[in-house]
Amino acid sequence: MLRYFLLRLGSLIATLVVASLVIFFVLEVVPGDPASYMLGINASEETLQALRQELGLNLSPPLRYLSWISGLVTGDFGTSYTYRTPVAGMISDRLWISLPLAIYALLISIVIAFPAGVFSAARRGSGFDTGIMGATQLGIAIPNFWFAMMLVFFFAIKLHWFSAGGFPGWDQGVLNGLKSLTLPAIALALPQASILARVLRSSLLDVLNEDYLRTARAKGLTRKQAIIRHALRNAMIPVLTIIGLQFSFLLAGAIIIENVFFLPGLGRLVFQSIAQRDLIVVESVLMLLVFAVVMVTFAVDVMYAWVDPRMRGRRK
Amino acid sequence: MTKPSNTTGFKKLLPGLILVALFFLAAVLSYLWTPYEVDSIDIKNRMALPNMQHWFGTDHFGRDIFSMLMVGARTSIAVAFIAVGIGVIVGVPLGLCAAAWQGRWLDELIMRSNDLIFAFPALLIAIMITAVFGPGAVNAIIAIGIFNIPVFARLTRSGAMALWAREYILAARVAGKNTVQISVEHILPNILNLLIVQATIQFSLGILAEAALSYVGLGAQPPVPSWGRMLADSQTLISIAPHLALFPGLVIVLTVLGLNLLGDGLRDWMDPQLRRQRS
Amino acid sequence: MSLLSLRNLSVDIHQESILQDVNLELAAGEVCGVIGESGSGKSMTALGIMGLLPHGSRCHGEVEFDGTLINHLTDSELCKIRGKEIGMIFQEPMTALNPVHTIGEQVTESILLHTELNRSDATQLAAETLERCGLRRNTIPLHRYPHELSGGQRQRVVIAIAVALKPKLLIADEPTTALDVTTQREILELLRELQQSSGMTMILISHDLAVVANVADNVIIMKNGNVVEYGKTSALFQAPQHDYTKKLIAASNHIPHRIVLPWDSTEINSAKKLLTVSNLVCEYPLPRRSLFSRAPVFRAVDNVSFHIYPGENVGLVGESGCGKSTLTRALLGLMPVASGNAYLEDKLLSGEKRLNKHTRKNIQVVFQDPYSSFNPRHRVRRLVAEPLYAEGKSISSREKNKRVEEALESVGLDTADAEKYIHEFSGGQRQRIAIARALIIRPKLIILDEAVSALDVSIRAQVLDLLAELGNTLKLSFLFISHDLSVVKNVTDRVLVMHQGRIVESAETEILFTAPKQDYTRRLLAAVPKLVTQLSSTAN
Repeated sequence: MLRYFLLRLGSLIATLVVASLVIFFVLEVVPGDPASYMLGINASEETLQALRQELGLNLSPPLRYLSWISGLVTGDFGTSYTYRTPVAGMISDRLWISLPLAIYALLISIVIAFPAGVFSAARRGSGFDTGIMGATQLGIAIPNFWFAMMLVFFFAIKLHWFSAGGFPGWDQGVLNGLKSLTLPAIALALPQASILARVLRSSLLDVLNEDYLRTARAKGLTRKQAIIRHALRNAMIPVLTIIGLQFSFLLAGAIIIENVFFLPGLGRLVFQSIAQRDLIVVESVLMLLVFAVVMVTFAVDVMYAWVDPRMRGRRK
Repeated sequence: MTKPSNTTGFKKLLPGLILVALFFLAAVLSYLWTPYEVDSIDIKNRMALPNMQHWFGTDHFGRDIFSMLMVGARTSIAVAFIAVGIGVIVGVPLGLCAAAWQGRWLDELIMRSNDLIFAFPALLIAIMITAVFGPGAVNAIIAIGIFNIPVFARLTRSGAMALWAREYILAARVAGKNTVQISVEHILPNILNLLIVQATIQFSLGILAEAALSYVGLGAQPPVPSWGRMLADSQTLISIAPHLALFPGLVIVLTVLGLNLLGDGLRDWMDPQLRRQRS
Repeated sequence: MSLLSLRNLSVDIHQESILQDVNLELAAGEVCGVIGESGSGKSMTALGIMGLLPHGSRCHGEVEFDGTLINHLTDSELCKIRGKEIGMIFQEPMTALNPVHTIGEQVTESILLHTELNRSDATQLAAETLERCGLRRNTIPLHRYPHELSGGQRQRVVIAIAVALKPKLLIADEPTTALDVTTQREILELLRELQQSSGMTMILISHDLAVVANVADNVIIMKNGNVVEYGKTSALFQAPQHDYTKKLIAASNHIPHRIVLPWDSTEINSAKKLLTVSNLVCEYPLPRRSLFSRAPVFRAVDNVSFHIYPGENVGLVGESGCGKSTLTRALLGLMPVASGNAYLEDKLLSGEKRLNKHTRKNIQVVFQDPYSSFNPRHRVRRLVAEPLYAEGKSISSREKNKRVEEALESVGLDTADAEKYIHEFSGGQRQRIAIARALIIRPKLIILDEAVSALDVSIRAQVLDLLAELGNTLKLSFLFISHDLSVVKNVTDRVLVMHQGRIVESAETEILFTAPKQDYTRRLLAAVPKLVTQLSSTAN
């Protein structure tokens, strides 16, 4: 078990290192001179030199990479060129919107998908099953940002149940904050819930054909008991993978949805930075998002071992 | 495998096939004819509701929404199709190689690089590329295409690995055929079904991704019409002219729905196991 | 009074009739054997009794168990009977247990379900039951997971689940088919012991006449969903009434007509050898213990030496994991050799990396599984012609077609079959096509890797006849690789016994079967269920 854990941890660190190299290479080496890229072609040699000095761009790329990475590890993300403030502070403010939004959406997705998937598998071929399958087919096809616009139109503009966008800040009360994240989270969650419900259903149907389900029925378990005690946990194995993947889609999706609701999250930060050619901020946000995705993959791997004893390696 | 069972299988394909065919037809037709020129601005008639002249109404410049959607279909098809092509052309050979040399360093290398790409959702790749090269449809294609590579590589590898254990592969090896010959003659034809089904699914995901990238301004740039950007433009006007947002969204939904139905239908139709059960 | 009666039990699945009017009376304490080939409906009968027929099936007739008509009960009422009054054992021990629960939990679960015992008492009873089924607590503790157990051990867990509550009826559906012959013997002994000690009634379903003959009091023979014959085991086997029964018994004892090599051993020693294998070693790397140590290896084939003469039929027997498949793969050039060598006539079998042309033209193989042996996307013509690739471009396509047709005719198929796809053929026909594929290159040696193991007994007899005939006319040598000694006995001149990577005994077939020298060979022979001895002993 420990061996498995360490192996996963090793591959997590390796992925992070290679990912950081890729990001650094694309954003700092490919453009040639990042300083002239940031300032545009018309910048004078003096201002360029000043910026290089300020950002440490005089160093060779390997040294710059090392100082960027050591900064990241110690929490120093560098200084934003446009805002002249530490990137770490900017990101952490924004992260407190994007991350809760992704998690909120994931929870909604799971809460919707589980009952839908389990019941439609248990009653395969019934009207309920057909209905759920039709609804999820539609759910997968809906672009989440369009769905978000429709939600705004009905629930904010027509019904006035929610505000059409903006974020009051967590200091205005957690409930208020959550309320303003609810529509975005629903918009994000619905397509993902549809996928999850379908995966859960087909995974359960596969497991229901397994021999050990027949053994369970031959023991005298009812169909319901057999599904709960023997099918669910085995069906979870592929579902976990999907939940892990979904988190990265939700995080990326959150960046887009923030635009619909004018939420001051990472998404808005990153698009502003692209427009202002602030590579330092883009670089750090990307690295942070990759870090989040890799961490979730790691968590899923660890959960695998918990769900499936075969993953833990053989006992001597 | 009697005839009627094949036709019932085919009937399940029909709804998807019709939707997808309509979508392709609209894109092709747009080169020859659209109800209005997509760039003809008619301020007098702006934000008109759907009527006999403008079936889906007009936008804030008075352009015909139906015509813009027809032309926008081209962008969607081009981006999604090329992105799937990149995924297939790069991913499938990689997957075949990984399966043929499974457990060796090449396999390890391919699979670890795949894991790496999975750490970058398509949007992140798009952000990275746009930050350096600026926005554009080509960048959207590259971003979605890169993300498609590991999808096809993994699918190919797992499908091929199951086949490498088959005895007919052993028989071919006994006959002296080499790895490449076996991969092309025996492996590829037997995973083609899997790949076709996945390609339709990736196609639909590509359309969604292109719409999302164009919506946030990382995709096709004006004046190229695109569904995602039509939605972005309509957003500020949603309280006065909701139909501007309604039609592009519905078109995306129907197209993606059609592709998904087609994919599911193809899987059921081609899956030999299901076919055996039916016959 | 009978414990179980089936009256006109019929089952159809999606309008297709699977069982037709099956009638059966089972007295308490009786052991009833059900024999049939694949598709005979024997498993459906068992599932019909349990009320566990697959989705979409309809059942007519009556199943009366212990005075109750159980096929009219609701599912929840049936659940009180299943596992408590009727236990069931399945064919595939590898998949019959839930991989995410420990074996202790899985046995305890059925006890808790049907009794008022608390958890610790139930666990205690589970531990006792597992001990009763031969799994000692100190070697196989309750917290083991199924994947940590061997096939035989898993089957003991499945049996423990079925008998934990001392059911009145135990249904065993092919309980030993997936197991090695020595494990099969142990499991059959266990079942018999459990049955006798508790006086439970048992239904034993098998395709293997000998397995049933040694255990059952009464036997029913099924074919295509019908019971064709029913009677006392001894009477039925001695004087079968129905033609199908006679055919089955004949096929089980079938001895193909074969020209036995005419030479005595001195002549053999002077003849030129076809295949010579000396000190062959094959190894698999195991996972490394730590990052820096060298990967340990598992020696699957350990210093194996043997030879085959032209026209000779040699058997290679051993249980699963003995290294016989690895040896086959090494001979076919599909697996690297660690040391030692093999010569075909006087040429080295394998070159640097793969088989040379000479070998490919002279050694061919027929595999076990008639379903995965062929690429489903190619026509038979292309499938059969594949080995001709070894001939290179020297062979014209007209010549190729001619050779394909010859090969198909020589295995008793029609030349028109060349245009069909493989799914249009039955298992037996597919094995004929596999033989045609091996013959097309006109090899001197054909390796038969469990080539008849997956076939029903009557089909198997036909394929063995075909092989014997081909051996006679084409002067072929065969290497029969099999776990089934009874097959090897009737078709080989010499037998090699393989155990843990080594050849432990090698002797002429007669001698090996009558006077084995090694303990392992004796154990193996003793474990084979024998129909012939059963018949002669009941005759007395």
